[in-house]
Amino acid sequence: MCDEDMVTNPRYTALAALLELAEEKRDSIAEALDEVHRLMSDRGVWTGPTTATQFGEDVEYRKNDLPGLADNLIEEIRDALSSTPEEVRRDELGHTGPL
Amino acid sequence: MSGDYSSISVDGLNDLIAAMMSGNRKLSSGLATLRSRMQDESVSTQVFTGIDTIAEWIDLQIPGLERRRNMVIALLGDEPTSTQIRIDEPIPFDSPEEAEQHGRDMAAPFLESGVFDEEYFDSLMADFEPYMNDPDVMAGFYLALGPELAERLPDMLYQSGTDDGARYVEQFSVGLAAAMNADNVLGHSSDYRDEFKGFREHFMEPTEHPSMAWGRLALLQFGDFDGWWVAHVARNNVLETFEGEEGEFTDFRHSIIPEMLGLPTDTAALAFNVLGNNPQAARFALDSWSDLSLEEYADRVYGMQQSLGTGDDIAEGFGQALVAGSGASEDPPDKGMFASEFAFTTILALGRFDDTPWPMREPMSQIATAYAEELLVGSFTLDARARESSMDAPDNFDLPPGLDPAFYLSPEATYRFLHGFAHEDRYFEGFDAAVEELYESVTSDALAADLQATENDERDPGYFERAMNMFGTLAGLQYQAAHDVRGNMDAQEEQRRAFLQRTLSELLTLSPTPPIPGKKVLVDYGWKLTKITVGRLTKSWANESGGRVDELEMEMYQGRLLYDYMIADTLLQNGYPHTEPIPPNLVNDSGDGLRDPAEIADDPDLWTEFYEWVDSNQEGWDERPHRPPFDEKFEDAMAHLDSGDGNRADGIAGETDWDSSVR
Repeated sequence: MCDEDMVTNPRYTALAALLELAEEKRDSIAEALDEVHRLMSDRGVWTGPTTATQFGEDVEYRKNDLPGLADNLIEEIRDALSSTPEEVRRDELGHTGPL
Repeated sequence: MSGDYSSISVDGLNDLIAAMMSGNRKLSSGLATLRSRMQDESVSTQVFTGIDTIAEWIDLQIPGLERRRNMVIALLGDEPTSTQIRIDEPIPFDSPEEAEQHGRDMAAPFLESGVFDEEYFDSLMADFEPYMNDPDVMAGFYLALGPELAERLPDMLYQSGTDDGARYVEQFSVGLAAAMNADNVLGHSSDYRDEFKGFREHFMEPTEHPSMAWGRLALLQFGDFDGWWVAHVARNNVLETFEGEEGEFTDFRHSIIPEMLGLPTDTAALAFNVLGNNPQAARFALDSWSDLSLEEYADRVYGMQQSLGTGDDIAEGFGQALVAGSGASEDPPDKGMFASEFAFTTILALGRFDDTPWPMREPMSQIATAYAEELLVGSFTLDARARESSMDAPDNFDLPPGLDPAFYLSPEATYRFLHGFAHEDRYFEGFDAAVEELYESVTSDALAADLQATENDERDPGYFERAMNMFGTLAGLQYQAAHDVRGNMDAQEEQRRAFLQRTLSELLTLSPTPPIPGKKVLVDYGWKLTKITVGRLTKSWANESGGRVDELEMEMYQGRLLYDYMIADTLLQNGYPHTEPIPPNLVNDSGDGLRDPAEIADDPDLWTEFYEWVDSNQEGWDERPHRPPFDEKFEDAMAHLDSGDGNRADGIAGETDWDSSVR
């Protein structure tokens, strides 16, 4: 089989672009509650013994979850990309999905 | 969660809501493309479950945050939006929408025909009262009701015959303000400001029906409404007509009953009352947008006061509106640019009238109390004696340090204004208390500045004497004003004698009070002593001593002695040096000042000794050639006080021509 029969795998290209997009979004997801958390840590915004404190804690643990969720999302795409050949035979075009 | 509360700032919560919305967007719509492309590429989107859960949680929290923000806005009053406001938790209703719906449910019966009797209102208001500061509930109530029904509420209340109508109309008013002040600028829930547009416009529609105007104005009596809007409602419903050619012949009464729900039925009185509760509205309505000058307004109001049955109500309301516009109803008084310009105009306008109707006297006294410093400076006659009143300082006007008046009255304008409320001593009480505070600070600062100047080998600027001129002239002007308006001199002298006796009695019982460190006990009475010296009741022991004196004369001498004693004490307390040691009979235990006045007041021999000691301090200081000897400083201060009180005040009062305008 000569090299001319191998072409770039469009799915690989799409997943690579998807990975790039996900990586661009990574910080936006991971830091989505950072400003809320910062404000709740500021004594001048909302304080109180129970409701406000509970809300602050709810924000904090969700804020702490977000970086992991963002990374998982990227990992999911990276896994799909790594299991996808970069090139395929021309005659396989149209069958580029997971085998 | 008993005992739970939230402490919240509006600014902080607005930032928090904005941050929550932004976070929600980042986790939902901000990821829509990524999610859809992952689905297109058959990549598992299982991980979105966690992200979606957080985004949904954020979305669910926002209404609760908006509820709290709205509740705090209504409680804010005039405080800045950065102020921390406390509310109890848990809050009623979890979202603005739920709270609004409750308000709509409360209003629903009014939309159907029914009997709105006493029982109905009592039951409604039991539910209404807990929410009258809740903007969401109140917005629901008033938006459902609409402006046409809302303006009829006070009348319906009155018709119901309820005994609690006065309280209920106040609650309706507070509730309407709570609803109209909530400004939901961040969307998500409704924007009440937009929704109330029609409501605002309806109330601003001119009406010639006193009953409609009365209902509108009754609803605006108590709440804290936007000044611009209130001014328009008051003007369009009443004051435009009041200012017109037919104004003085128009009957503004809604009903022949003098009072309904504790409010005057005269809509002109009610319009002024509304302005009396809203300083900014008072300035807009009576000054910025008015076709009449304040002097013309007063002229018309005073005319009605004498000719109409409800004229007293009109004058009373007008007075309160002027107090509000002048910033004198605030605590502490608002003496900012707008308020003080209005106060300046008011003082000149009201000073035009020789005869001030009684309902105006208390308001004038309130304005005088707020602007005591300006009236004190208005009494300064050593510079620019022939000045006209102005917002700017006259040329070469050398005031004692520490005085920074908002405007500069002429001595005549000062006298004219004092004349307006000099009818009874009680009107002077607040004003005198304010002058008393000024007395303590101004005399002390003035002496310090004089001492500093001579310390620096500069000539003595004589600020202490200048201060004495002001206080003496002011006391004299008050005396002259009271003299002129009270007419019955015997009664007046009787009152002044009672004041002298009261002050002496207060002072002479000071000694049992343990001295407070740093507290200048005698100086605390400085202004009162100044006033009793101008009553022409006191006599100087220094000049007239000798012979037997009866009890009455003894009081007269005591009054003057205590004043002189206080001046000497003030000089000593402020470190004014003297060359001759204080005689053993007069020196206090610590050896650095005079004995308590109560200890010498009953012994004329000690008085004589006191005056002789003061007189003995004739020597100056070689190293401070510009510093006057103690006795000279003392005598100069007295001379300025006496001439201010005497010739100058007499001259100002005597030269006042009530037929001419105020300069």
